[in-house]
Amino acid sequence: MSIPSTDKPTRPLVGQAINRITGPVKVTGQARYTGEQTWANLVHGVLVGSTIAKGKVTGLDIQAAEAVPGVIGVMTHRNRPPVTAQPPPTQGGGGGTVVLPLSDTRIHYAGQPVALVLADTLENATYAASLVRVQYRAEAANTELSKGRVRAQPVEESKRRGNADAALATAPVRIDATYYLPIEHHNPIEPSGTVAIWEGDQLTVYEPTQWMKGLQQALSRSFNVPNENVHILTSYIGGAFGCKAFTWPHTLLAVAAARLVGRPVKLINTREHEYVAHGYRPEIVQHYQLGADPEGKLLALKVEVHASTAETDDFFTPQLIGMPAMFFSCPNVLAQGYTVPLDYGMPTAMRAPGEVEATFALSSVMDELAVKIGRDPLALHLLNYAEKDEDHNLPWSSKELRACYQVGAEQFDWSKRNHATSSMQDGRLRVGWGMGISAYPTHLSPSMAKVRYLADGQVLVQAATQDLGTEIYTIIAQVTADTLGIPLAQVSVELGDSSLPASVSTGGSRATASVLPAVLATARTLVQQLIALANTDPTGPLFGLKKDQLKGVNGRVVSIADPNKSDAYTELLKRCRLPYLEAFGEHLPPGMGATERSELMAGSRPSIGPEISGHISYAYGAVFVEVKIDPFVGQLHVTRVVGAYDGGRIINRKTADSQIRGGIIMGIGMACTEKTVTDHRLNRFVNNNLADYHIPVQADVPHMEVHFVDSIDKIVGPLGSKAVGELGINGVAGAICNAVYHATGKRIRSLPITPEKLFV
Amino acid sequence: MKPFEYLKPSTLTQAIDIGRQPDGMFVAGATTTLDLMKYHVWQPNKLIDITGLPLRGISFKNSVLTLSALETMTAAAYHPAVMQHFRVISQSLLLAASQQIRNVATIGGNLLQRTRCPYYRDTSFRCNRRNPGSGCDAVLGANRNHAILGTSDQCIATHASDLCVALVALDAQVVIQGVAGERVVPLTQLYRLPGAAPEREYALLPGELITAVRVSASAATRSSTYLKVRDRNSYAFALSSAAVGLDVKRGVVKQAHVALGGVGTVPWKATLAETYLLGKPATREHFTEAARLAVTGAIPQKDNAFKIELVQRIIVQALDETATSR
Repeated sequence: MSIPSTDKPTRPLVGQAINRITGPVKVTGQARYTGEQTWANLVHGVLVGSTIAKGKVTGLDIQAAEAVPGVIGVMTHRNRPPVTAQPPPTQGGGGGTVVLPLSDTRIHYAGQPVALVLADTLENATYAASLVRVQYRAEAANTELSKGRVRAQPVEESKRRGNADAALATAPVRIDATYYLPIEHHNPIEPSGTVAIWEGDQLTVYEPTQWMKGLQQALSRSFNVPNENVHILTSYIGGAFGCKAFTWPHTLLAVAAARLVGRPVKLINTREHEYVAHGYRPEIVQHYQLGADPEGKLLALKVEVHASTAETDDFFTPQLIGMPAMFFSCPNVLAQGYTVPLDYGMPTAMRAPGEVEATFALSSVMDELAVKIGRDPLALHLLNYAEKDEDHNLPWSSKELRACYQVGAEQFDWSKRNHATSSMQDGRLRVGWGMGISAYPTHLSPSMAKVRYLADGQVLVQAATQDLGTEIYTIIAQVTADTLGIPLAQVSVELGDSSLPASVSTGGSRATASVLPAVLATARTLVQQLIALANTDPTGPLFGLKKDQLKGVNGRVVSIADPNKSDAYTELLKRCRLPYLEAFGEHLPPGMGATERSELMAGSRPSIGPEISGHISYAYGAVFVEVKIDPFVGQLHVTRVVGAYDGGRIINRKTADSQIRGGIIMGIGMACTEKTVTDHRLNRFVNNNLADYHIPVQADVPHMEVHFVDSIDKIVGPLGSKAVGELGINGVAGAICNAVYHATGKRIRSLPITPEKLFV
Repeated sequence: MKPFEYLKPSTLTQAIDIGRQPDGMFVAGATTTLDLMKYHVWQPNKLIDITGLPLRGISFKNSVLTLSALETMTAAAYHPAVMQHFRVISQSLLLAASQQIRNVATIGGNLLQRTRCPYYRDTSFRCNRRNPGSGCDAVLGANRNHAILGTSDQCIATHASDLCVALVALDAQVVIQGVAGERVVPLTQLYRLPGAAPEREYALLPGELITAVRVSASAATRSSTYLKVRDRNSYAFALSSAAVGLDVKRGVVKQAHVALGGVGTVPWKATLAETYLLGKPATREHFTEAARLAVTGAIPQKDNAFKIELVQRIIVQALDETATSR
């Protein structure tokens, strides 16, 4: 996609490609992240993690650590101030895990904190932490999914329509395939961490959280202080992908330690600790069985999913069974999930949790069917297109997937594909083309906002949400500038402060669709207030006109009947001797009211989706991939990716495009390189750093094209946006595996596709 | 990291004198040293920064290339003589690490690069190399990346360098300065197989400093290739690699260099393959046999049997490319 110039944007700004407004402060280093916060009298904390996965601490010698110059204290289970555990998300709470750190001597997972060393400098704390001696009594532990499956527990909710078993038994064509996904970690470039400052019973916390109102509530409850006493600050976040969504042990420990030593405490996770600090994508095995007629029309779809969880609590992403139940039209469906408890810490949501694993399997299995009956996979996708949501028997809110298939295929030149395997070559390299599917449910939450118009024409928008780095700052400014009819440069956006009007968590790709309607409503309210001011100011040109005879246009109140009669907002405020005028506003998704409003303000997360107003709402995409493989030594290169997406209304083509590209790159990592390696004898992760855990580097990133098809969803809200953030990662891994099959005839069902899997 | 004393000698004599003492450690680019100190794997009391020593310069005289120890990987990779006469060296450098690391990491330091074995780099694991006699968690652990050649029951860690594979292939010599003066030894003699004492990795005496590496140019160093297969397309250690050089006249191999990376506990000189190729027609059939000989004695670990096959294919492809690319 070519991105139009943003030098002289025309109205409306919404829909255009606009540069990110925080770009300058980020590239010049002025944007201050949590780890850069300094504070007088600051104490640095360094964690000591368990080296066993299960058992008890039988000895804890902190003498040598305490003797290091600069050490202020060592917090262990013996002296940790009281902390109340918060229920995890599986129980409706905001805690990442039920394991409360430094509570007792029990060890539930490798890396579990056993001590927090506190010193005047990071260096002294780090060295002292290396001197803490811990004795353990280890118990037999298991981190192997295959061994743990004997203890698998069925997930309560399953998906069922028709009779999948009976239809499978009689189906003319059958596919039976099992897909394996390893544990993956989020690996944001900015590690998580906390700066905690107690002033009496007032707590200030700097933390890169995806959910500041949730963190505020969790800390208020954990430390037994009123919600309003807790102040969360999150100006900027260096990536998160789900690992910063909930309240995890390191945060509780930093706050507890600040209480213990009576000084501000900074605790930033080391890169190694990041692998045990805040969850991971669980290991997942998906067994798919398809029944189809000879043309490829689906008759039956049966799915059995085993996903790892922690011994301490259940975690299962329902979309693992939700996606196969909704994506294709199929009369007989049975999808059942199982959790397999292992001796790890808690897994958590990681970008498109459930969706990305399912779209990998769905993309793959449809390709297997296409190969079996000798048809173009794209034709099978169209043949099995779901015209409504057959799972809930409800209409879609909007669905432009057909356009995605068409635009993606055209831009990729899919029609030139020779469908025979190993049929395309580039010198010594085998060339393969594959396609995959994407879908992501729309989630909506209530949000509030404040918009302030200053007499000098500057506008400030505020909300207690946060920016992951994906740039909600800019799209808030776009909507505000459009609504007030002022240049983008006059709008400032302030987020990342829990004392601002309550707003949403940045998870589930909900921020755009939830926050912008609140900003829009608030800016419109402000315009009404300006109109009310204009027609009541006896010295003004519009005095006495009725409200409905006036409207706001380009920063002025204008008479509808006589557009020459107008009153600029700035003049109006100056005349009325008002330094500013401000409006509070909110947007509640359909069906929400006072209850959800107070839940939001208290720090809970009222949410609807994908069922919204009697419709099912999803964003969609289709992705087409080219790979080139040296079959002799097994080297795989992804050389081209073309994706077409229906995310509803796209607010900023540039930042949306960026999000999709990031997702595609993460999908390439999932397919080709990413895997957290466990030593199953010691039950510990061993590639816990960015050299040995292979996220894609620039050399892995191919030519990418992102297209958005025209789509405005009239059901989901006034702007018509669905979801973008987690859309791009979907389908990429499946498309790559399908391309690999096309190139080599090798069906890869276990990721990542490392060289030894590709020898021909 | 543990507090330490930082010293920066300005002469070689001074450096060697301080380095002789048991609690000192030399450091140049520090790309590995800093990591290992942060992980408390290395806890020297004295860190001796040798970047002030006059050990710089790359020369090519009388067909001999001399890479001084403090030259960076980047400088060596793009030096005209290296690019022209020692293609495999330039390639091995450019396929190693990242641009940022190559800009500061030195040639001398690269020769002494430590293993990436995760059990070596985390002090809570058992490791005979780090802590003699403590045992080896890698043998029963996650060992897909480990060695298949030159292992012992005490240690199966791979040597991580790419450059050293190219240098060993081309029969490089290393210049070592010590208390007793200068000595020049084949690079292969610098590396010790782990055997029963994996902690003794290098044949260096206390205080000895590597000052330079020397390689002689020939038709076989000019016609040379480094082929590396890894888990991602940049910034990854070799799963397996091969450095080869061939002098082929009228279809017959007159000289052959073959060494392997990612598979040995030391940069692995495939002498049997080199000897076999001499006088043989430069055909795929003979390359395949040479590759088979190169992995003589290979012992797979639990997770890395594929390397025996992979490295042979890499050797064949590297020889093929080299023989046909002139």
